[in-house]
Amino acid sequence: MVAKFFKNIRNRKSGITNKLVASLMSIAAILVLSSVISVIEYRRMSDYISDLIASNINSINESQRLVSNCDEYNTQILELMGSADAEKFLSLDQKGYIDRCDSISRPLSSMNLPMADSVIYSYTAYMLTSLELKNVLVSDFINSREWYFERLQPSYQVFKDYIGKLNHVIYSDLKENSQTFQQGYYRSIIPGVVTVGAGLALLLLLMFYLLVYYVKPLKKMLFKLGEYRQYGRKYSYEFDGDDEFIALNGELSELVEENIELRKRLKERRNFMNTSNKVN
Amino acid sequence: MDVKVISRNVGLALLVSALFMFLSLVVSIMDGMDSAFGPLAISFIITLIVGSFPFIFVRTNASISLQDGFLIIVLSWMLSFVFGMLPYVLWGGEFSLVNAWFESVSGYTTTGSTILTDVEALPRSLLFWRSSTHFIGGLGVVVFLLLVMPDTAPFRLRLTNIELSSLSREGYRYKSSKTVFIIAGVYTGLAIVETFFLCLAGMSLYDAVNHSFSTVATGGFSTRNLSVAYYDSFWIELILMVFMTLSAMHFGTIFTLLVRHSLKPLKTDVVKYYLGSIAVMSVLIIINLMTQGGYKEWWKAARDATFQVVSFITTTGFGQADNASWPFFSGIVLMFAAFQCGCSGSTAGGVKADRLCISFKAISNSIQKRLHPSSVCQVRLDNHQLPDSVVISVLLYIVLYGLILFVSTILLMAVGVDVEEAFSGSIASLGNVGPGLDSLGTMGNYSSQPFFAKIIYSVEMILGRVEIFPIFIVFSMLFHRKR
Repeated sequence: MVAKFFKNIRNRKSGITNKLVASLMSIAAILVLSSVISVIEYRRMSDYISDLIASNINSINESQRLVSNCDEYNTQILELMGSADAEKFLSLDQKGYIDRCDSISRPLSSMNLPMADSVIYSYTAYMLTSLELKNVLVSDFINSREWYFERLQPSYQVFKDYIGKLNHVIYSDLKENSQTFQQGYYRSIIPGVVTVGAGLALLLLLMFYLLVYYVKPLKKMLFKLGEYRQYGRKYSYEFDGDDEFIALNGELSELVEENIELRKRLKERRNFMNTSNKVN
Repeated sequence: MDVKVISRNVGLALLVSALFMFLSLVVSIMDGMDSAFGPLAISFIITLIVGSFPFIFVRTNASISLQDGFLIIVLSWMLSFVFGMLPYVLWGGEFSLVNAWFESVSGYTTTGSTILTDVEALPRSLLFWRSSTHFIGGLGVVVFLLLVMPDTAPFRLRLTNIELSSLSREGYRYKSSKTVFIIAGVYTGLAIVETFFLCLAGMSLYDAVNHSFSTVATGGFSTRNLSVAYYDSFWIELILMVFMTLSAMHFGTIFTLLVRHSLKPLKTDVVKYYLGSIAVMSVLIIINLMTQGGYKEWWKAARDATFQVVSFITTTGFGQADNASWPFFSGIVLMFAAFQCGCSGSTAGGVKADRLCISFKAISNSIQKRLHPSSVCQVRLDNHQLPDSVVISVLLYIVLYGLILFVSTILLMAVGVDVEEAFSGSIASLGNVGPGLDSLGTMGNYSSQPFFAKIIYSVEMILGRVEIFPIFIVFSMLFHRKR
């Protein structure tokens, strides 16, 4: 059944109009597809870039906010030590802080996630140390200055160092992301390039087919007709195809044959007339 | 160069790809239009339009010259790679530009090496397309194409001469027009029977079809991250081993086995050499695994070793055990299997057992000749005396194959691949096997390979699939034209 279907298709004749319409429609379809692909890929790339930039900027902002919050908190502790008023001690919003840490780690690659963990651990260490403040303030035996500079400040410094490293990691991730984006860019333009390339190839093929199936036979037909008119040679020309051009060639061939026959008869008639005139 | 004939036949090759894209689209629709629906639909329409365009004007097929035949083969492969990578590129994910090209080339050339770290993340329709590229490529886009064109005997004869190794024609004297149908019949029949058996062994129909496509094409793409190891089933492994072994034998042999109900075709020198080499390599690896590989049970060592040897020698490359953890000696034996591969007239790649068998006989003859200078020694294969020209061409092919391996290994090392990976990756790619050693092993992949290394591997896959010469012939035709 399939073979019959293909045989029917193969044996079906199609005219010049059908061929030209089909080929031009194919090229038009390829062009439409290439524009559809361009739009889709543009949207995808645009979304990708927006997400990428937004998440990286967000993580950088969050880390900056973290540092400023901690600086503020540290200054508050220093002030409290000056006033020696334990009641004024303000607690930091721990939940908000952890959320911020999470938002920093979210856009990070899996390789750099341990750095975000280190920030959280160093923060926890710092907070645990800062919680000793109440005891330090009420205690008569602990020198608060010593506690601040030798105990709290080093853990704060470790924490700040990790924040700095985290920032560095975020920047290197940003760099990697931009490389990924570059790769994605090449990937996204290729379907368009292939489609446009295919469209161009089809155009070239169409040009080739038009030359081979129409222009060349037309020139040859004219040449053969000229030969017939000039030298009276027989019109004989055949070429591939199944459309009106073949029919035209056939008709032309028959017309020339008829014409030759008519000329032959005319000649015979004239000869006959001449002979009979001479006899008379 | 007849552009009409070339464009028509290359178009037909693209239509075969379009047909399988359509089938993948059907899978996507059955899965509720998964994420690969759009990419597959667009790729299908583009491939269909480009493939059918020449048929608008070129309605009848003319006879074809040998040069045109070579051009058709090379162009069909190249365009299939380009259009075959469209669904991957449009889908995105792990498929960067070079990765999509690599995956497409690997699929069509039935190599089966992948850049995917997570195969199961792909939608089922895209996995089906991935396996389909194996099925299309398995028989060669051009031989496949001949099946669709039943009225071009001279054309078929010439293309068959190009596509199949000349050795296969020596051994099996079928009429060329018949050969194509025999190959197609055996190929499709094997796929159907294997699907049935895999379903019986407990695989889902979808997985069975995909694995059958991979097996009969001796490709190696699986739908699972762990490949065949995922199923951990002795029966599935046994079925795959049987069909891998059959798929790497000359399809004419299998046809004769089935039609004549006789085991005579299995008694040819080449088949005996091929099956014997599987047995010897398996035994060597079993002993090595038991003595140095940390295996405690004989049957486990035998199961793993035999499966991997069959998987490598047939150039399928399914993973059932992690060969990266095996002793180095086992790796080297597997590499020899990947160098030798299956018989000609099958979808296996590599040097081919036929050529190695002939070269060993030629070496043995040469030794005899030195021992007895006045003796008359001729290389014989199944009582057929091989002309010197055949023996020389066989030896030349092996030398050329070795030279390409050497050059590509050097190039791979130059782009930053370490020696073991460069060497094994080269053998695996040129032989269309897939897995190599170390991180390219049966449980590894090519994702971490540098950009240029992926390009080199894909060039090797193409050279290996067309048996090197057609590419060089097309180049020489181009240069000849320029002169």
